[in-house]
Amino acid sequence: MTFSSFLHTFISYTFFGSSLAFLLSYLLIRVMRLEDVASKIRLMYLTLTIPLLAYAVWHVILPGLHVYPAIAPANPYLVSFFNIACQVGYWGSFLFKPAAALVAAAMVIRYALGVMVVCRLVKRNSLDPRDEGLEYELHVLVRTLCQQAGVAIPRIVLLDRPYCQAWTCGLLHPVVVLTTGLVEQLDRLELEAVLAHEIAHIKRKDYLTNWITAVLKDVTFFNPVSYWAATVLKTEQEKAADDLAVSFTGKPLVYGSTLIKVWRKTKEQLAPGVPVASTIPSSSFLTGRGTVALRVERIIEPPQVKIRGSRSLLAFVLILVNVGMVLAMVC
Amino acid sequence: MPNENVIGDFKPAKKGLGKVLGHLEAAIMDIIWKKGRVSVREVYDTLRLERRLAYTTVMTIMNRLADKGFLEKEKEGVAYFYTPVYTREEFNKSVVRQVIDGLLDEYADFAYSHFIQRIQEEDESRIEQLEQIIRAKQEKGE
Repeated sequence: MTFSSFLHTFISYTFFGSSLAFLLSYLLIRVMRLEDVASKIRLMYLTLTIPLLAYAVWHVILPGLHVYPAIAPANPYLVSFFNIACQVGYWGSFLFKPAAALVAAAMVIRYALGVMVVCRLVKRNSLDPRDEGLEYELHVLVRTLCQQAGVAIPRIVLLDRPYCQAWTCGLLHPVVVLTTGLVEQLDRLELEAVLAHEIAHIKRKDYLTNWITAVLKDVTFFNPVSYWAATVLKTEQEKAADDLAVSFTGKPLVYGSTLIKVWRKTKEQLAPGVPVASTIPSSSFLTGRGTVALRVERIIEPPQVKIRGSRSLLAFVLILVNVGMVLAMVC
Repeated sequence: MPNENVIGDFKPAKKGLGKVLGHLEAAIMDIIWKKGRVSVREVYDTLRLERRLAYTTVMTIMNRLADKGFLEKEKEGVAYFYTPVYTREEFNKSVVRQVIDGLLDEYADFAYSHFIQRIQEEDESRIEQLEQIIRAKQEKGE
């Protein structure tokens, strides 16, 4: 196996595998009425990972076991189609191979810079729980919520910024970052809502899976479907965190009003040239406008969602097997 | 602490204030931070001890710094006096903050889970409806 042959197969698998998996996910979610957040998250992860999974099975694991299944379509039109699909991978590898090292280096630098900047922030702005006053109150709130969630208390970072922001990051050890603007402008109940959301992300280990999603999205950067799948994944993760946070606080109305308040405050503070991290206005292909309104609606008037566990598993297996078989015929 | 963008171009290869200001701008700000309230003449007299430059150059640069919001300009008699809007520490902190925010935004955003991910367009009327629903439910004691 050479790098060229890996790249050629990987590009074919990414284009056709992820695209087919995304399309099938979209159809099966509607046909099987898979309305729960967990099913959608699972299917989007499958969309992102299926190229690598298929490559591992057909080109590494099975050949390693000296198993060489002969899977080929009987229909000559399908044969032509799959030949074209394989050719797309060849052309793609021809195009990307010279830049592969550059792309890999750019990814590594980006991640390293990201880690360095966050580490610097944490080192200089971590709160000492022995301090009296606001920091101590924050730690009390966090401790109570963590006990409820059954997670270890994360590091808290208070950033001196005028805008309202809160986020969770980390790789092995989660860090919750709050801005002074947020802490000063929210009351205790509202702060509890925001912290509950961040701790829900910790409970779900979203700080770790964000890295996995970022790497998968970056290595398949040439396929727009990866961006769509990653966007849907992020949106569903937020909904899952909302649901879990409300289960911690038991106050859905406060949670909903806090979402709206933070949205309004951040919007007011978005002045030209103010570098507010991660508040770049952008419209996502699938989530589009109205994310905050949708989240608030779900919380204050929760939809009657049936968890269809067996259907979700069936959808997962159907997509995995069918897309896997198709990819075996591609290359 | 200043809230605004204090940096336009960031030049990492330059030293000190030169990273965010032109070399003459940096020299002038240095003098003003040391002296406090100054006139163009005072700054010019200090600068010409170490370099050749015209009075009008110093005046132009100080006016430019005032336009950028770094200096406050007030007229006293026939002369203008300039005072720094930010202290040196405030200015430096603001530069560091903006650089870090920029780096976070550019390089670390992928790894975050936010309370609100993106500030997108929202249907304002729908948001107001939701606020009314919340208020009504809270009044009912839900």
